[in-house]
Amino acid sequence: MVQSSATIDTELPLLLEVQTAQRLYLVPRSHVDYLVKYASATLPERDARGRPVVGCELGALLDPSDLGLPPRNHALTVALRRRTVAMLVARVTNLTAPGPIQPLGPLLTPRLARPWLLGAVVIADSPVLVLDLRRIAADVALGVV
Amino acid sequence: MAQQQPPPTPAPAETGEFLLVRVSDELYALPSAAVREVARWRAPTAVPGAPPILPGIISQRGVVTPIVDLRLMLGLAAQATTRATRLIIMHHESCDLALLVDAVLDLAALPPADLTPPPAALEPSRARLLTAVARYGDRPLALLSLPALIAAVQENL
Repeated sequence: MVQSSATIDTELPLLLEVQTAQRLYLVPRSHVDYLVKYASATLPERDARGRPVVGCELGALLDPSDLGLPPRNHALTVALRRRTVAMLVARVTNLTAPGPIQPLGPLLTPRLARPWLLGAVVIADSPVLVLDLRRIAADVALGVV
Repeated sequence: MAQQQPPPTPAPAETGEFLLVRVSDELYALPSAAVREVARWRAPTAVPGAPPILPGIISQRGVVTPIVDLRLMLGLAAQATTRATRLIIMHHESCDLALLVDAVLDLAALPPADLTPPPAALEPSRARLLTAVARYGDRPLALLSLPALIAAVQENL
């Protein structure tokens, strides 16, 4: 059976365009439980279910030089079993399904320090990295970073 | 634990065509059969957690392709990119890669009679990447083995 292109498009994951202090990443919408706008000083100590909230700056986790969020920013919140992790970013600009996620390939993937990347999507002829946000949140909650 | 070394690639038995490139101030030859195209340098998307020999990824005709810095692979100093800097888009088995070189010089045929084995005194880490050496004018030229390069990238250098 031949699938229409509309059917294929709906199978692409919905991606959030996430701007850190200096860089742009994509995050699957399904990895984010809540998206909240915060002043960085006002992150709550616990979430609505009483789990401790761990806050961190997403860009600096990935690249220590990616620092300098504006005073008001967004938190991508991932709720785990015992903790909620709030990853701060400058802004979340878009919800989009720009194209297929391409793997980073057999040369690069095994050489990464952490398995935090799902691949990359080509936007305007430039690759944009797609983050495995749930994996990052799990590592933050475990204190391994 | 001893590292598993890939078997040395024999020198070509027939005249082959090679892309001659400059890396730092040294000359190298890449088998042209594996070269898909030569592209001008453009800034890649840096990948967090990748080693310096893999400085980022580019989109080459819509395909996400990692850059391999040949200068660092060969233990040479990385110089600032210039207008002559090129990315050699190559394919081997399931691997696509863009080799970063300082310049592309020529496309040349090298007959087997002009090739000699790499000198025994060469550092083993560099010798394993070479299949043979030759002359280009009055300058030494080293033939690179793409399978050995890929194997070296995949190992923890």
